[in-house]
Amino acid sequence: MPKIVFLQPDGDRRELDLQSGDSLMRGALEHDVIGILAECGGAAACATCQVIVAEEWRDRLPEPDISEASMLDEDDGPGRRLSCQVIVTDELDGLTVEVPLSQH
Amino acid sequence: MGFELPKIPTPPHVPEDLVRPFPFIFGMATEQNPFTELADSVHRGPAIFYTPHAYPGGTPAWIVRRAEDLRAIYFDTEHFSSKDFSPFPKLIGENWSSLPAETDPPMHRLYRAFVNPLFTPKAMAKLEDQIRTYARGYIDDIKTRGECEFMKDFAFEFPIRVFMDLMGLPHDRMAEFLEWEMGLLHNHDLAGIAAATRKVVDYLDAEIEDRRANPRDDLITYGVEAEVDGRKLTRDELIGFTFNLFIGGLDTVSTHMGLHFWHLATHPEDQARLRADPALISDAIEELMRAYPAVTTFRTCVKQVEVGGVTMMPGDKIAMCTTLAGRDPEEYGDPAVVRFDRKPRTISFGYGPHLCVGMHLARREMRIAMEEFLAAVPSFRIKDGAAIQFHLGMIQPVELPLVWQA
Repeated sequence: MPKIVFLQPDGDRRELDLQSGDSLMRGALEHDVIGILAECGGAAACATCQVIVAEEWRDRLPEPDISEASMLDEDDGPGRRLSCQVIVTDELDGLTVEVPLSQH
Repeated sequence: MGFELPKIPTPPHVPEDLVRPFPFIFGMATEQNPFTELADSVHRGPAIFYTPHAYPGGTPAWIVRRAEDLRAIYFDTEHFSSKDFSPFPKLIGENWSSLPAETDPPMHRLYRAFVNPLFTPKAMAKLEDQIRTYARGYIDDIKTRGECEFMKDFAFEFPIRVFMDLMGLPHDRMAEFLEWEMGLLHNHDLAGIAAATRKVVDYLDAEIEDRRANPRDDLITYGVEAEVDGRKLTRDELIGFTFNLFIGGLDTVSTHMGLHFWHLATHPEDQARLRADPALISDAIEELMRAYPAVTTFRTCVKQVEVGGVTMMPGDKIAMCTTLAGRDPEEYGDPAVVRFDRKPRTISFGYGPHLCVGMHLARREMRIAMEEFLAAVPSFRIKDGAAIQFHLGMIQPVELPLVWQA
């Protein structure tokens, strides 16, 4: 199972074994990762499941589709993704993401 | 009163023992507490049941009271359609759909992607100062009076101001706007609703045409200039988009403000806590949204499906009653107790792809209104002798007379 690393703003670091085919959001919620709210349940409708992808991984993820892109704010800076739209694959073993200080 | 609800025969797929009355009847008003008396009583019955009169006009619908079952239906666009659940276009002989609320895949995804950037948390954060200025304006007018009718003096107009700025509409037509909103959403007379719809649509048509010739930095211009699915939006789509914003973001904010302040007026210890520590207000609003949700929308079953052991057939209407979801005892322990530290996951803004696109704006408006009111107005309560009545359909205080020592 691919390992995904979740970093918290306070430095807390969790390495989680996630299921290929699940979204990062689904995996995060199953492991009670703090700060992923996912109010819409994974429909790219609420922008409260955001993560900041570590720089070295940004080009290795598929580009956001039209729904995800419409929810991301350019003001937020690069690397922001909706974790409900990033699907775990074996190629993403070791992916590191940071949970933002606030989803609002 | 003296009107009789029509008697509708039960379809063969609906078990007779699941046909039950439902205390929320669109268009009626009640002096009972819609939450602790009506909603909580529904939770003592079956998880899913069929009621003859849930849908406006007196048509039947399934009532689904558990948050978990509602979440599944909200997400299931294959079996449940959002198409055309409100009556407005048909009343004026037109054919558009409120957009994105009353659209389905595949177009829903594109419409929603078109609307989303307008309402992101960051975009709404930019409105903070202006929203606060509006709130202060209303509160400055009332704070020295020692009393107010909260709905009429603050809650109805305040969200309209913000909305008019976003849409690029002139504030000097506020009174007219409010009249149209009342005519659309507070009316039981179909002819009256049709007349108000006609006025709003004519107005929106004129504004859309104006923005084609004179583009500005507002939502109507955004709609006129946008490309969706590689093309510009049609007139019907632009009406659907602007109309959706009109009905989506005005009365809903007003009603939740009214319900939250009704809670504070009747729970002085909660009011005092927030006055003492305004940093709690954000969490308090989440819990108040959990405990007092006002909105019911509908879905139509379009493909036979089983939900919670119940067979639903194409054509069946399903009431998506957030009022029930927020008080589901299987979801929330002691749902009747308001605890500001509960930090609940609610579905008061819906769930899934149609989750309220304006929720970040709504939360901001409600938070700022509460911050400013508690800062400017001392401890308030319901005026002596006033019995608070609630509209049913969308749960709204008919009037909320508050008094305080000015």
